Amino acid sequence: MTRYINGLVFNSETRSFTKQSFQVQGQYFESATSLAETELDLDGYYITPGFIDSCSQIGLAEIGIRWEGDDSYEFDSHLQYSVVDGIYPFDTAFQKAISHGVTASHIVPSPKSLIGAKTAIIHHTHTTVDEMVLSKDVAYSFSIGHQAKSTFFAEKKKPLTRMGIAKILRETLQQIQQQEPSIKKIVIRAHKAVDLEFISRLQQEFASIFDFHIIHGTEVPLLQETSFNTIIAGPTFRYIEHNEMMALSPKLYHQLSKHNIPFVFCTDHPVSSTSHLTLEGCLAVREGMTRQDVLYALTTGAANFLGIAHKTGAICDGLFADFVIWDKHPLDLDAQVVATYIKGTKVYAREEGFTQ
Amino acid sequence: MIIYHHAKFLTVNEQNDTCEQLWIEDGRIVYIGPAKEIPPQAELVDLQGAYVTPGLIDIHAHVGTWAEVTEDINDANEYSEPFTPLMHALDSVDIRHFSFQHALEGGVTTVQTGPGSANVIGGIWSILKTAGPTLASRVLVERSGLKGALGENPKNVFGNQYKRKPMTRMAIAQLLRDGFQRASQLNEQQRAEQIKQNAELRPFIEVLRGDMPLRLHCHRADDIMTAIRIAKEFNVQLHLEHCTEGYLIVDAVKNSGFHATLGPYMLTPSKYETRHSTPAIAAIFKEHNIPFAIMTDHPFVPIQYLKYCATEAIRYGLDEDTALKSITINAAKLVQLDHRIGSLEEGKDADFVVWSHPIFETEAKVLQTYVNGQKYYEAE
Repeated sequence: MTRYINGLVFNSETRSFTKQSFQVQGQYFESATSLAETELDLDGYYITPGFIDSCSQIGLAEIGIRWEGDDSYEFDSHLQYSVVDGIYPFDTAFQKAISHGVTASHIVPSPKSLIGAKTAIIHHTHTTVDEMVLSKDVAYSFSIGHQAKSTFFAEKKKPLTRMGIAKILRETLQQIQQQEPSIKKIVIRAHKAVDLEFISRLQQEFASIFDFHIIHGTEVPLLQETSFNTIIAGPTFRYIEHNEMMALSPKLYHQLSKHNIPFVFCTDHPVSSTSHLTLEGCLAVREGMTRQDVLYALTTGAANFLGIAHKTGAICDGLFADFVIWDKHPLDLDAQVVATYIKGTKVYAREEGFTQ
Repeated sequence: MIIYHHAKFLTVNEQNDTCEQLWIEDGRIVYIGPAKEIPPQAELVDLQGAYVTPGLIDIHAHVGTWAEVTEDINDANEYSEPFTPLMHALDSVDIRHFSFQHALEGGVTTVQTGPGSANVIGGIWSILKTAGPTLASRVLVERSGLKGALGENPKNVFGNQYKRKPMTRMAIAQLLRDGFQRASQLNEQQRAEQIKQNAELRPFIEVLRGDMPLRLHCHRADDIMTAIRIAKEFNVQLHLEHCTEGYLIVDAVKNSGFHATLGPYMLTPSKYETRHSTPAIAAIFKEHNIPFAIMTDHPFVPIQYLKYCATEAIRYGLDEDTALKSITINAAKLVQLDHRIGSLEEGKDADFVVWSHPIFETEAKVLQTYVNGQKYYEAE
């Protein structure tokens, strides 16, 4: 039992920092039932729940090498494909993530796959992927528009049009319904307004069966419609890779907030870096969001969306003790992580240096 | 004459504090300092308590040449040959490309742009303002360096993909030496002839004469050392581009006497030679007094995020003052343009940025960007 006292702790209900104490027993936050064996004074530090990246390829596309460590894209598709079978726990990106306060990620395969795989949510530390998994078979992932089309163009295979993509998507959704009835979440990568409208149509067609969630959503501001399921927005700190991304801008976050469209943040690591998750939040603040709302979206908001709020995402009794100690407000551009804890264990400390 | 006042001016020179007025005439700063009497014909502009910095400078960005979006309009790498010394940035730059607009949105007023790093010898770089009606009106330096690249990029493009030389670092070094060797052997008359005809060895002669530096892309420690070795052999001025593993051999870099542009460490390491990339390099170079600037390497980190490359260096231990200088006055010094750009001082070009908050605060937005005294960007 360890007691952490006097820190400024982010409270997910009030969305603000208050000076309070909390206790950790083993892997969990726990209310004081017995005397703490050790006490740590966090006076002057900010404490947040561990940040959650709502769309990432960390561990699936290893950094620092090319094809040898890239398991984010397969040439064909199969409903059995699961990201869990492709995650490498010793990807050095995990160290980057925890040194920037990111403790968990929702793993989604590459945008090159029209039909992706079963996604999973993992913690950022442990020696085996099985120990890292917080939740398996979370959603099925798809990718529509330019990326999927250009993959098929390169292969000179069908589908070459949005019509062809739509047909395959509908057929696949029917198969999922029959073969994997427990999966209700569908996440679809899309930038262009026309593709976002198509996803809305799918939502109407499969209303009682699936919940559709847009990843990226670059052109949402061009749509009249404002009723969306939670959008995995961004990342906006990235290269304009193709013409569907011309509207890419952090202004997206401001637009989503203004229209009360629910959204969470992501880096789509390695597209942006897992270490830039807070940077996406900072850009949202620059565009007019409040720091409180950004912090909520990075923690409890993401956990709610991903269906893991009963496990992590807040500093609350009974949840995994995933938390981060910061030297200043985490959305200051130069804020440093002092220490990161996952399941009650210190997995990173600044003293060991801000290197690799 | 236009006089800007009611703002906090960050001049980035050694006497920073008591500025209350910025006087602009004919695209130049004619006065910056404490308030004084306004001449009768001057126009007064109230900046409503905003924050003003010099225009930001990125001396390694492919703005206007690397057109993004689609490979058909990418004019940064002449992939047909590994040795293309006659390629010139100005022949690629599209002044109407959106990257110039993005630069202005991010407060960037000067860029050094040109060929990428596919080729061992890529071509000539140029330094431009990010706004102005014609290409000619934007040029600050027409020939600002001969760009070359060591390591993985030429190995990958030519050896790995095209199955031709260079496949190894040995051949890359040989190709690089070859240009300097051939240029060194020419007599005065032959040199004059090469220059007059804009022949293949012209850029090497210019580098040997000290008219412009050799700019070598190098990430891995051994490539950095090869760059230094070749520069010393021919006694030419070298600028280290990227210098990613420079912090692992920091004494050797310091002893070489050469300077570096650091980055793009904001990028996820996408290849083997960048796997040790860290923003901590800036603080380490500062500690060892090695002069450096910070780059975006646009489009890899989009040009409008130059400021965030500097803040990431602060997060990793660099002081704010040096971070700001690395994208303003120190960048200007490294390209010998500090008499014209990089700080708010009398006699310098009127390139400045109006921010909503102090530049390194999360909430800071660019409200206006001025180049040569003209407002080219205003936030909605």
